[in-house]
Amino acid sequence: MTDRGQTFTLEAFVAAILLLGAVAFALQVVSISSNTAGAGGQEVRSQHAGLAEGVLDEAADDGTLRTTLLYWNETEEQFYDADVDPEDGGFYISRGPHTTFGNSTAAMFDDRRVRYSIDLYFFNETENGLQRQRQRLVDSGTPSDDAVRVVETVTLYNDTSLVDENETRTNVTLEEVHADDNSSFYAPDARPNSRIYTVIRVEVVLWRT
Amino acid sequence: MADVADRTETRGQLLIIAAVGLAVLLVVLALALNTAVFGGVHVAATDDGLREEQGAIQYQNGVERGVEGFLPLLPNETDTYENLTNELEDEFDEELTDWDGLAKREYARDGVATNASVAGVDFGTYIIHDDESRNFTNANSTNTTWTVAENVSTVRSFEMNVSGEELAETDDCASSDECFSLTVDGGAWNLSAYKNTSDGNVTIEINGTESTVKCSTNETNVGIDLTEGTFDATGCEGFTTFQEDLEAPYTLNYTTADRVNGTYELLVDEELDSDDYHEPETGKSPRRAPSVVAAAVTVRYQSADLTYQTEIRVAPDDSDG
Repeated sequence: MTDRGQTFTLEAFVAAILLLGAVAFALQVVSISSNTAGAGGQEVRSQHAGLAEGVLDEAADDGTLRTTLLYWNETEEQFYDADVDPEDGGFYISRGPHTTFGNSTAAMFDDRRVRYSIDLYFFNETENGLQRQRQRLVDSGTPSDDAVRVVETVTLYNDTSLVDENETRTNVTLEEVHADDNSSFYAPDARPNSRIYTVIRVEVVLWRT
Repeated sequence: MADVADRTETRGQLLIIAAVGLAVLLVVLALALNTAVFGGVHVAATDDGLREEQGAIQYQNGVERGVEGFLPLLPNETDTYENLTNELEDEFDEELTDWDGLAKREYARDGVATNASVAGVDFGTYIIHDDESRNFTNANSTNTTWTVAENVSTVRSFEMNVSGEELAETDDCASSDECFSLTVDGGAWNLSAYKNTSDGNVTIEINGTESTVKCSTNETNVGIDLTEGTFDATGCEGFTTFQEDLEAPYTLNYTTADRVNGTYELLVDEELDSDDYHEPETGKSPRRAPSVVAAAVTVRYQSADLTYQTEIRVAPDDSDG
């Protein structure tokens, strides 16, 4: 009887292994190591990308993104209240501009401990053809490995006017700034013979700290 | 004695096997529990698929916003209606090609081929009366009461500049029929302009559907913006525009148009062809000219996994073009 007892126990263990193995195989959920990025890393990244896209899309729709791109002091050649000197780019470090879009982005991500960098890309007509150039808006350091990127396109026209530090439209149009030697805009007139000034691509890179 | 020895050995082997079995069991349990807490494989796979579609829709919205910015296209030359129409179509095509060229390069960096091209344009009429000394009668100067625009669904940038010289002098336009007025939809909304007998100020009276408002100024030339609802560059309290009060379509009429002179211009989204207007090449007032008010654009987006093509209609609907 004692022998049979051990056999039964062994049988029970084998049955348990078989059952668990079957469950694992059916669900295909066996992962060998836990994720280094923390709880549900992939899902959190998608969540942040989705949030950022939502904020960007809405800002592009209601014009607040464009207002932020025009929040430029043309005589001092930097964004209003920028952290970096004009010669070095005239952008912000680890924070957004004090515009509606900048504030909503900050409200969305600062609580979630997500850092973001925003870069603006546009083309410049040079002797070698169209060259891509970049103006930083926000620099929050080097992104981590699991950063996500969302993009949006904004069109600026010759008669688009810049905004001042209170986000009110000024009388200064991009065409005037382009013609004036004492002031300049970060993007040049990519199409001088047309009403379109340039097309700017806004890239937002987000990552968790 | 042999029996006892045998039984001990058998028990020993069974114990080892049981121990190994238990160990494997615990490891598999740990793995399953680990995955149950940290796993999330399936969600990510579906997400990437949606990202591609989102990119395509984003591009489409980008095209729409980009094109909206250079509509409406107004002619800036004096030429025949036909020639201006062709010129405007070409100009629109060029603008869109310019935009497409810039956007295309940006998207190409991400491995996406994009294209936006003209499928068709919609014309409206740009009505200009820029001869200040002339009154607001129609082109052959015979009708003091005439229809400016009939059954138009959108009116944009309707700006009027009125000088006080010819205005009727009265205290109340309802009793006097000498006041110049703009009536919409047969009188559902109207604006009358006159000079106050008491102080000689240029006054406008707006009879909206819900309220009546009077505003006056002591300037001799007054600007009235009928799409923004401003008078003399400031707000006039209670000035509701006819587009706020009434639903499209609108029919605009002038009455007693000989009792006012100045300038006006407006943009309507229908093509008007009537004898009440001069042709654009004459340069006389009032005249009509074509303008592009809306367009159909073919949008193409092609990435590694997705090919997307559609035609969108771009029609800016803000009333101040």
